[in-house]
Amino acid sequence: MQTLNTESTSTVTGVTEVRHPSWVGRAIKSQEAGVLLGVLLLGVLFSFGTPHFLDQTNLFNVGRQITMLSIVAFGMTVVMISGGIDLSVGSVMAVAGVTAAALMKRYEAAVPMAVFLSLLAGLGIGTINGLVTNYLCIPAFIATLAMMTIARGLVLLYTTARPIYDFPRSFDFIGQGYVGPVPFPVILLVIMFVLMYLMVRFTVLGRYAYAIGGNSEVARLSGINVKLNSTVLFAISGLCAGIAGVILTSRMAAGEPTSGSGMELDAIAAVVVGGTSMFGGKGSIVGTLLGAILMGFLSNGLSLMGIEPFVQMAISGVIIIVAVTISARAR
Amino acid sequence: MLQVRGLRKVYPGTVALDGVDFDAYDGMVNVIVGENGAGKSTLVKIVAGAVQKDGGTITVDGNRVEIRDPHHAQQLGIAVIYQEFSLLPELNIAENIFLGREPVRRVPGIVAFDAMQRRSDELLSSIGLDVSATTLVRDLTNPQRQLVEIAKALSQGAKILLMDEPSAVLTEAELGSLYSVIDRLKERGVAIVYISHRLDDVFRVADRITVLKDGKWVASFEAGKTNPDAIVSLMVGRDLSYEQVSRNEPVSQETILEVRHYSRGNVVRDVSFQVRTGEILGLAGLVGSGRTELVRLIFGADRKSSGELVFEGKPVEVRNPGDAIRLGIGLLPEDRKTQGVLLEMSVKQNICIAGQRRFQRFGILDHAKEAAAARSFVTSMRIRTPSIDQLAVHLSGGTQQKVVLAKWLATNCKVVILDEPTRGIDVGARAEIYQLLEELRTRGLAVVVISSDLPEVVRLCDRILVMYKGRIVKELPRQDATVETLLAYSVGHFAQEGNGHANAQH
Repeated sequence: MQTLNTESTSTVTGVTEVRHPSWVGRAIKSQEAGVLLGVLLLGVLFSFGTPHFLDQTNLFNVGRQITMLSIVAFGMTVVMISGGIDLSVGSVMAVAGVTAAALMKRYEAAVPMAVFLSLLAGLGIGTINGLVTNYLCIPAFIATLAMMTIARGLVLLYTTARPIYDFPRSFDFIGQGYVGPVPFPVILLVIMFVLMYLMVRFTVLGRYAYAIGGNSEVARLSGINVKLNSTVLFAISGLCAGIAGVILTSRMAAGEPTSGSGMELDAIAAVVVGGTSMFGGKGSIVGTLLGAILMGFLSNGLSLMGIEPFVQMAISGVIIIVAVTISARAR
Repeated sequence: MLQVRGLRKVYPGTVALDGVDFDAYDGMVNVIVGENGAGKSTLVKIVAGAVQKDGGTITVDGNRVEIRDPHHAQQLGIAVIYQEFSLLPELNIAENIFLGREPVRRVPGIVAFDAMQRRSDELLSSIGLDVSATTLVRDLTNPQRQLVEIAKALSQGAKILLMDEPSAVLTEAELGSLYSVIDRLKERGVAIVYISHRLDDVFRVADRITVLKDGKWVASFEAGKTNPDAIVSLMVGRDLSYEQVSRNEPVSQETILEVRHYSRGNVVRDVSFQVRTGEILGLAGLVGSGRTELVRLIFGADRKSSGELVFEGKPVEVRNPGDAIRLGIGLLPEDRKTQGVLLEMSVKQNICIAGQRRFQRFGILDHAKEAAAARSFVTSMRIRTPSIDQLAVHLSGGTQQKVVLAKWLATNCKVVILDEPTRGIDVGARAEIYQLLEELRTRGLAVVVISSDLPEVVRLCDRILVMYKGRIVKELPRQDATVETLLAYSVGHFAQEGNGHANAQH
């Protein structure tokens, strides 16, 4: 045993990194450390800067504001862990939202049916993204960029660029309801977080996502059906965008053909701030949630401090750079 | 001349170099040998200015120097040829040689391409590379790229040339051109520091040999006054015979895999052979003879254009690696870093990834079962890692290779194919891999080994197939195989038996 130990240290000679033995050390070194630090810092900053930042209602407010961003970013995370990217999520949100709206308004579909079919639309577009990327061998960036304009164009065409509104009251609950003091969208956010966290950490699909993103050739030579698994991950991203689209339509009480535009960039920002690599193979759902919270804190806190929206945008950009720098250094 | 005295480098948790002395004389090949982790590459990095020393002195031509960074090293006449080439494939040779130092015309910023090409052509011919300087680097072979690296170093006025494992990317036949360039450099008075794992290689080029072990200087010799066995025992610090692998009777010996008339374009041409359980079958031949391509067809990594596969007596179709794994075939690929190991994943995750079906239920990972399997492989294969959760990127090459082998054993495969399993791996780890393969053979697995290291093939394999230009040209049983016969068939020199082509189809 003793000899085995000395051997093991001798083989790592020349390696700069040495493992921290305790869980504290691991936590400090973990990829979420940087963004967690950022979230805590902003929290402290805003709680001193404005009187109501830490109020329960305000925190739930933040939760409701970041629900859609988070859910979209969860889907984006699994795609990015596998080395891909999904630029179509904003357009998919609009497709799903308008689908639900049109089914209820123009075809008088029941609410559950409308929701179900609009989620199916999101899933379907995600699947097409996956198929085009993997089986036509087009880079995900290009394939989903094309889908972004295709989906947006079709939605604008169908709606003649006008919103669809006037739905059954029960549909409002999804985006506007409360369970006790908790906004219903926040409950959806928690459910999606748990599901996606479990998916990434505890399923074979999650493991394969890391393997494919880490090195798709090694993954293929290890017998993993890379194309199929990658397609499923794109489908999941489409589904997540669909869910976010339905929530948004309910919250605004209108199916807006222009909704969700720019969402892909916010989602990518949240994912990257959360420590997921742009090149795949690394990342986590926890990090993405923290990234979304950081961005939510920012816009909410700055608004409470009475800072102009345009100034907020500029500050957000700077904070993204700072956060990513910190989390890159922490590793 | 380079003199290093009492060199010391400490990384958190380990002492990489502990008072190392080393001299590199002008016009000589000064070899450093040692196992992975002995401190060879740390020494190279310090002299190259890539990392800073913590103690000791470095003297170049009698002047004591503090090497600040790679640029400073370059100014001092020190150049490094790393194992991974640092050339840009889409630029031509001249552009690579003068990258960052392009000669300019009188108007600054305008590159004098004609001068650059002329000077590059002169450099290339001076080291015997017969290629135009306008050739794109991506069109060059590995040995040619290495020569371009050397030309680049010379163009920077290098007087001290550090070569890290220069022979690792070369085949037996290509080594000759490296040696002749080294001879020319010696004539020009360049001090060459040569790092290698391959002892046969070392003894062919070395003028002086220095042995490092665990960051300490062990011994220095003139090459003529020592021998491989002595060096090996100094390197590993125990008396380990280079040749000895204990051999036992296998539990079974029957045909498990039969390849019939496999072809793919001009690369693999009508190849048929059988693989038996309880044997180590060697595939010898030059790089480019179709060995790697053949096993990739069998494994389903590439598509064959024709041929049939019979596994355990039944005809089977292997369309992708997944099919091969389900049958019980594993392939340890040629390039460990880009094809074998997932660097950013843990030892445990690497071991379980190919046999993931066995470590899950309904798509949910069975973490306990994974950990148990990983621990048992780490123990039984003596995988040197502080924990099963260690990322593979932090392990040495030999340890990574064991992890990749464990990955295939974790699939419960019956046939395991290994493509260059010991390339770039130190002597100690090599001996352990040989011993592992021998154990697998004894357990009744069929082991197929591709290797360019002919002595390795000869001492490891029960039966050897030699490939030449996409065909199997010779089958040799263990007792008839010598390095010389294998080499002769590998280079298409069948004449010695007078019936070479009759043997081509067995």
